[in-house]
Formats: sequence, structure tokens, C-alpha cells
Amino acid sequence: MPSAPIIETRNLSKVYLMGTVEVYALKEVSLSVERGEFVAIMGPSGSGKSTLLNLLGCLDRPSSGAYLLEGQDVARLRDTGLAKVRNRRIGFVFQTFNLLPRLSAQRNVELPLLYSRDSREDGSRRARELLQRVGLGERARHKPSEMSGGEQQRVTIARALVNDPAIILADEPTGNLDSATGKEIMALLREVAKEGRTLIMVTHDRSIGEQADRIVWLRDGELSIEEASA
Amino acid sequence: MSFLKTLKAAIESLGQSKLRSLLTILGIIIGVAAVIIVLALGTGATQSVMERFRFLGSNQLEIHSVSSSGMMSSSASSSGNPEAKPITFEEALGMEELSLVERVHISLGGSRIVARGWAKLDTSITGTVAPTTEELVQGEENSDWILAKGEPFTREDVEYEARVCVIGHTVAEEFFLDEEPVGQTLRINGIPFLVIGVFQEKPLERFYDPNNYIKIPISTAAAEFFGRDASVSVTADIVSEESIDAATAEIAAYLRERHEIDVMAGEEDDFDIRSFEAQAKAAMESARTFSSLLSGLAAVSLIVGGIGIMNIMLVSVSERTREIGIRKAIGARHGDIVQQFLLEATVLSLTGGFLGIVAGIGAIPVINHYSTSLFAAFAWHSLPLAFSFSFLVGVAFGFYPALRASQLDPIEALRHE
Repeated sequence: MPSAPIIETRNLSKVYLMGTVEVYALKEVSLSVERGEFVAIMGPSGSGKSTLLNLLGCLDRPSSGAYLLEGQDVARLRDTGLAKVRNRRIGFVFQTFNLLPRLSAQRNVELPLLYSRDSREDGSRRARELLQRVGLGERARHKPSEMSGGEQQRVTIARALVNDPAIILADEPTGNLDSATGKEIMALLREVAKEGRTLIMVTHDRSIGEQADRIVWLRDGELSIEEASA
Repeated sequence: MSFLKTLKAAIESLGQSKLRSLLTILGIIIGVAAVIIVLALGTGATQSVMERFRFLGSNQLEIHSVSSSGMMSSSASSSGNPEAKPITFEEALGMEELSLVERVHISLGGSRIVARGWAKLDTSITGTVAPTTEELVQGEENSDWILAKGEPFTREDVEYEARVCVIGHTVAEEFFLDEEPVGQTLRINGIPFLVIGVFQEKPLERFYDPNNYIKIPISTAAAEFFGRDASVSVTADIVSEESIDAATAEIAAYLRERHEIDVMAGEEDDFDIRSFEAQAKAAMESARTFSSLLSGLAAVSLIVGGIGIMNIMLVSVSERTREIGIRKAIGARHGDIVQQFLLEATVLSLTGGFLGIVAGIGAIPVINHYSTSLFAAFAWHSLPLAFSFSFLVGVAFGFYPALRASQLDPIEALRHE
């Protein structure tokens, strides 16, 4: 018997009011993702990719529909509950890295622990280990402005992993990087996914999308095709 | 999120823009320093009132004509009653005959030119009654009658309006450098007076010479210089503290009779009798009023300082919108963001409070050194007050910006450039 999907959305919709007109950013999206799966979400600009990722990342609430994360309907959670889900169960990797410019790499990686744990020694050791793992062991004390784009994205990945989440959400993780660096980052993300984490990635780059187990296509806020990748 | 880590983060964040943080808390520094100084001035005023009344007995009454009311000696006082009759030195002397009055101290004075030969000096002339034997005892702190040479004048001198005088140290130095002053003659306003004694030198005061004075019999002062119906200031020693009220009534009855005031017919007294206790109380009261008035002003500057903090925190929130978005995305709760910004505001205002306390305490000796009329004494109770004030200002004015920060939508905030 197959295990329950880690992510399951049922008729998920997001509606914005533009003046008096209702605009569907996302319309009745039903999607399910298995534990450990690597899914790419693709589609043209304005197709609702980011809206879907925000909903999956609990940064936003749907206008209607249900979102079951490990069987729990998180659409019903309060703000504090959503913050906890983001903190413990999801790691974010952004296109623009979103590191705090005034903090060192080490402190940036520790940041999510500030909102979850209290034992500092434990946290800083874990952050150091993760930085080593992403190949930045020597650069822990550097600030983001002193690092290349690829290095910054590695810090972001280390930060995403620090609370050992089951799900990694990546929004155009290679969008701001040259192709060689992009390849390195993708390799790192795939490696992370192999540890049994679920990886969901938004991209508009077909060659990157094809590295996923499956591509989900969005068009005008609706799920158009789902294709299994090679 | 642990409090200590948030605190550390707040201090680091503020330390990154030191000049701005300093300018932000300038208002608080000034406000708190003002509170410290105002309270020090209040305490100083209270202390000097206490000092002033320390030697005055609780069994004393002060009596004066309403035409020269209050503690002011000006007979042209606007609040005075123009119909009021003066209390003359004879009426004052008459009070000594009353059963509950042990003794009266009367004084009547002014400034006159004193001369001997070609030498001249502008000196304060005071007419008083003769001292009692107790007042002549050396070492009694409040005695004005400690003589270096000669004798004081007597009751008989007062009775017969004798032209005798006892001179202060400066007067003696001025006119009788190497001579023996006792037995010599001085002219006061042209009238010759026999010097019968010299007062012991008093310690110098900062702005006037306490040794430049002459005492003469009250009757002589009235007859020769100030007029027999000049209003005098009278202090009456009462037989005991318990009889203060009875003595007040006795003196009032005596003065009503002399001034022909019919209280039954609704006429008002033209004199005022007050115990020193009441006067001290009134003086303390006015010191306190003065203090609270200035405290109000200091509070205004604290509020202005608080608005400064609120302003800069709002700027900070909008500058750090993206940071707030990132923090929220990785799991910061509403309360975490509120705590972070509230703590920054509080650290700001408490730092301002601390610097303000330092500045205020530092200003106290400066005030005492340069001001002639103000005396400041550090008030311990101003410390907790200043600290809690600055804490409250930080919390009160930091709360709204913190709330604004916490209510930012994470998606919007992340998109913010």
C-alpha cells in the first residue's frame, strides 16, 4: 500500500480582487506530491507558479480549497501555526537568496533556529556542519556582500536545511546565476533531495525542469499537463 | 525566540547605525536629564527651605501688617490692604506684656550712609530690641549677638532712644583700622552715634558682605530714620509650643484693640500672624509647585523624545521590510517580530535614559557652581523615575512601529526592494 502523499491540494484557488473584478491567480488546482519526490512547476510568467509555491510554502492562504501537508489541513491554521510549519517542515530557497545582509553566513544559517530552539551551542555547530557540507566551511564568517551569487545560494540552501525539514521549496534557484554555477546548485539540490526530502521547484528553464521526477505545467492559474520526466 | 538572543540582535542592529541611534535618543537624553535636574532643583529648594527654618523655634510666631504682607518686606505690596495700619515698634514692644508672649524680636531697617571724617560707607542699619542674657552666650548658633568687643545696648537704651550702635566687622575695619572702635563716634545719616560694641566676624557669603551692618536700638531707629509709625517685623517667642493657638488669639485681640478693628462688625484684620511651621510649610509647598511645574516641562520633552523614537522606528521598519519578510518566511511568528522591534525601541530609550541620567547628574555641580539663585541636590528617587520613564517611552512609542512590522504580509515584504 503506497504511503499517503506528503502534499495534497484539493481544488486550491487564489482569487484577487482587482477593483470589482475577481481575478483567479490560481484556479482549482489539485496536486499531490509523494514523499521524496522532486517536482518542477513550470509555466509562462503570470501562470500562477509563484502563487502556488507561496501557498505550498504556507506564506499565503488559499481563497478556497484544501491543502493537506502530511495529512494536516494547514489552510485552516492561524498565523502562528503557519509560522511554525514554515519554520520546522519547510525550507525555502529563493531566486534572490534573501539572506540578511548584515549577518555572517553562519548567523544567516542559524536564523531559523532562533525561532525554534534555544540551545545555542547545538545550533551553531549544526550551522557550521551545514556550511561545510555545502562547501563553505571556510567562509562562515563572511557576509553575503562578500560572497558570489553561487556562494550565497549555498548559504541559502544550508539555511533551508538547518531545521531538517521534510520539504524544500525552491523558487527559480538558478535564476540569478550563470549556467555553470546553476549546474552546481542543481547538483546540490538533487543531492539534498536524495536524502528523502521532497523538493518542489519553480522554474521556467526547461533543461532544469527536466532534472525533476515530474513536471507540473500551469497556464492561467490552472493545472494544464502533468508529465513524468525522463 | 529567546529573549537574550533578541536583545543581542537588537543591540547589534542599533550599533550598526550609531549616529542615527544617537540622534534618535537625543530627545530622551535631554528629557531624562531635565527630569534629573528638575528633581534635583526641587530637592535643593526643599533643603534650603529646611535650612532656613532649622534654627527657628516651633514656639515662635511671626506678625506683620497686611500692608506689607507675606514674606516680602516691600510696604508697597500690591496684594496689601491700603487701609491697613502699620504695626509700630511701640505696639510690638507692647506685645511683650501679653501673658503668653515671653519675648518679642523686632526689627526695622534700611540702608544708610555712615561716615567718620571723610570716610563713608553704605551700610545696613537695623533697629532691634536689646538682647537677652541667653542671646549673649557664646556659641549659641542662632545668636546674632556674639560680640568681639564692647557691650550690647540695653533695655534702657531702647527705652530712652539712646544713640548707641554695635557695628559689624567690616564697618570696624573701614573706619577704625588701627584704633579701638568702642567709645568712638560714627555719623549715620549725619547723626552721631556712640560705638559701644563690635560684632564678631561672620563667615563670608558669596554675594554680599554679612559683616557690613550696624545695630541700633529699635526706638532710635524709628525716631531718627524710619518714622515712629513705620511697620516693623515682629517675631514673638511664646511661652510654650502648646499655647501657640492661644497666643495667636491673644496677640490678635491686642492688635485689634490697638487698630480699632471690630471683627463683630465684619471688619477684617489688617495683620497676619503665622507660626514658623506654617511658613515653612508654605515655602515647601511653593518649592513643590515649582518642581512639579518643571517636571511637566521635562515630561513634554520626554514625549517629544518618544515621538523621535517612534519616527525612527517607523523608518527602520520600512527600510527593513525585506528583512521582516525573510524572517517571517523562515518561521518568525507575529510575536517574534513585535519582540524584536519593541526591544530595539526599548534598548534605544533605555540607553537614552542612562545617558540622560549621566548628563543630569553631571549638570548638578555645574548648576551649583554658576547659578546664584538655584541650588540643586541630587534626588535618589529621580533614578528609578527616570529609568521607568524612559522604559515606558520606549515601549509606548515602539509598540506601534513593532506592530506595523509584525503585520507585514511576508509575500509583499519579500517582494519589497
